[in-house]
Amino acid sequence: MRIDQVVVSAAPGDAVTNSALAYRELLRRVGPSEIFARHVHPDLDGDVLDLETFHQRRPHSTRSRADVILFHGSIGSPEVFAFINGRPERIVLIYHNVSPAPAFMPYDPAFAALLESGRRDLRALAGRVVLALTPSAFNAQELEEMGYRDVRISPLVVDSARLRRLDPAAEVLQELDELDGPLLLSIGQLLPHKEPERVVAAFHVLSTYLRPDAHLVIVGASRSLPYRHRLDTFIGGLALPRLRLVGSVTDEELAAYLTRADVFTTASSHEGFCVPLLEAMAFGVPVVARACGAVPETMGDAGVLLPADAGPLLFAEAVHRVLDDEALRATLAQRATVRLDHFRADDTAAGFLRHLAEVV
Amino acid sequence: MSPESLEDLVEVLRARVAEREAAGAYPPGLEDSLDRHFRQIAVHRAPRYDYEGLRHRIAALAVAGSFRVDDIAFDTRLPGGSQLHRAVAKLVSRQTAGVLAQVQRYADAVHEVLAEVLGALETPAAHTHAELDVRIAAAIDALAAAQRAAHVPSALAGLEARVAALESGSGRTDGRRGVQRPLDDAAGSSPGWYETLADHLGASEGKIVDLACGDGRFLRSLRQRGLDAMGVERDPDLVRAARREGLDVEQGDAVAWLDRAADGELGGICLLRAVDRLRPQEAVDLVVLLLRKLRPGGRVLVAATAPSADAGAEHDPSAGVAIGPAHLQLLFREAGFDDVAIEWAPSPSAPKVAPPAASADEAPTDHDAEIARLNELLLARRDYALVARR
Repeated sequence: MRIDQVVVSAAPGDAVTNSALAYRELLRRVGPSEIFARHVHPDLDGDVLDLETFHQRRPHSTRSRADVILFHGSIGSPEVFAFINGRPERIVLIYHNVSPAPAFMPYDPAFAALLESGRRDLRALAGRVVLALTPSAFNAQELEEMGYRDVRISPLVVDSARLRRLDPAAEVLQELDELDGPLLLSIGQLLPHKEPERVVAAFHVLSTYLRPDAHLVIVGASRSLPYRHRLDTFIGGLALPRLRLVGSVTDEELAAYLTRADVFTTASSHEGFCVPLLEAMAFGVPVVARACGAVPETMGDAGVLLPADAGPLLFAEAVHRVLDDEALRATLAQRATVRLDHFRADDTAAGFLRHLAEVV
Repeated sequence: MSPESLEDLVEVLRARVAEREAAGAYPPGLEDSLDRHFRQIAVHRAPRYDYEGLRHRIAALAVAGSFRVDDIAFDTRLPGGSQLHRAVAKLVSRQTAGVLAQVQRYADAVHEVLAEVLGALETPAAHTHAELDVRIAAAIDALAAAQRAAHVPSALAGLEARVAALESGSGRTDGRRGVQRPLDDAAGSSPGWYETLADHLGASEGKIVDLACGDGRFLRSLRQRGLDAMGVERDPDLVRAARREGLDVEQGDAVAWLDRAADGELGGICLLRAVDRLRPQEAVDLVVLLLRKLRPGGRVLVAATAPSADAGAEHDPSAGVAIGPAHLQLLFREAGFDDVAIEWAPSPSAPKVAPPAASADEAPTDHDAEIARLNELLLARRDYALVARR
């Protein structure tokens, strides 16, 4: 028997890809295991295999029925769903969440339709899935609404200290050392449902009325040009010279930003797990976030959790307080250590394998 | 702050916000105006034309444009005797039938042309849009790069590794990102075109380097013009071949060589068919490097194959994209080069949108010229060269 994984697209730094790589490491302790993807980023060529080669490597056979495919559900892809539906192996779904289609409607209706079809396809797949795993209760509820039963919560196997072991990029550190005030950091792709405009609005309030010396760095690739254009216009209109969108960065650069950051903020309205929260905690950076999606359950009590309807004034006030209140920072740092323990990679890996053992 | 009080923190913060608002620390309605400011920014997205709707409307024309003499009434209640009426009706009906036959022929021809135009419009529109996206993404990346100007060397290291991987053939096995295809396998170009490009470097002072020079074919053209030119080539066999002809060629990685070269010294840099597919950031890094290494007034010559509009099947953004001339021109201008010009290789490839077949009894349509233009602009796979001056 063998267990292989299928993802729609594999790219370095992508959360779904990272989790598939972590699972592969575990699965390879038991036997041969590969990751197949419909789209493979050139940097992962050879490490992650093209889905089209699956048939050659794993021909249909009577034994296939005993094998397992771990399918990572994250986005619509008619080809991948057709492939999964056509395979005799038993299917274990790992649901990372599908971004909410309505958020994309004003920007890219075609992409919104793809997301919508992703949810439809997941619903249709429910009968074929022998085990549904997902990293958060928020996701589990979505799956149950899609007709899945007995959904198990299995937090992602995240080595949150991974970035800490890297040498932070010296040139970024040097550049950040020249900043004349505290640094807010936000990490996340520039997409409508991540709502970075809320972080920008809060930063406008903070830097205009409360902390004129504050800086904001937003790390994350632009994945929707119409949204990016709107965000740029918004930022341009507010005239915020201390705000920088640095795009996607290397792990070493990310480590440098986290090393120097004074507060980590996210205003995302839809997260299936939110790995950056744990990464910030690993660097002892206090977190201010909105209570949306899986953020509350991932963060626990180790950060300042603002209500989902928090406006820019409250957001800015919270950041201001965290910057100024040493005792609060110490409390948050201490709780972060406890929280990270909850997601220790060894424990989450063991939990994942326990769930998997039930079906293999 | 004690751990217990953290749970009440949000309430404390709310109270503090209310306090500040009451004290007039914020302009009234600040939150609303921020919200409105974001919402009122128009979303610019490329219009998606409804080709399916257009197809239906063209199909409907076939029904509306079907003219029948039977549908026209020739009877009349006017007095004058049935004999006369029948004679007049016969005459009118024959004339009407003649007119209708002409109108019908015309309508059929228009219908065919419309269907043809629809077919031609449909595919290229999708791809020219994709090309535009790439250009905008490149411009955004260029801005990010400008903000991170201090990081150029590290970005360059990635580019070097990438080009090295490509040159050693380990990048992708399908060869689509291949480097250094021989100059004369250029699709749709006349073989001598590359040699004529050497004229653009005639006015260069200082050393000219031909990066990824292959067997030195272009280098020879430069030397024949009496220019002080050398080449860099990774493949030892090609280096040996070039040296046998007495050409000055160094073996090694082209980008690494350029990176090591002294800043502001080179009189000219040539990159002919050297890098066919690049990711936007790689293109930006390369252009910045070229600018740094040239002396003031130094020339750069880049030749590449323009992406054709029907190259959609090959469009895999993760593998980089074929850089179009407008994109490249934008990058060079933005980087600060002067006199950035594009020159096209002659002879486009075979036309893909066929003009409607003209029948003997019809006048030639003036759509033919437009179709030829459409072929040239959108569907031809053509080589181009960019020349620029620092």
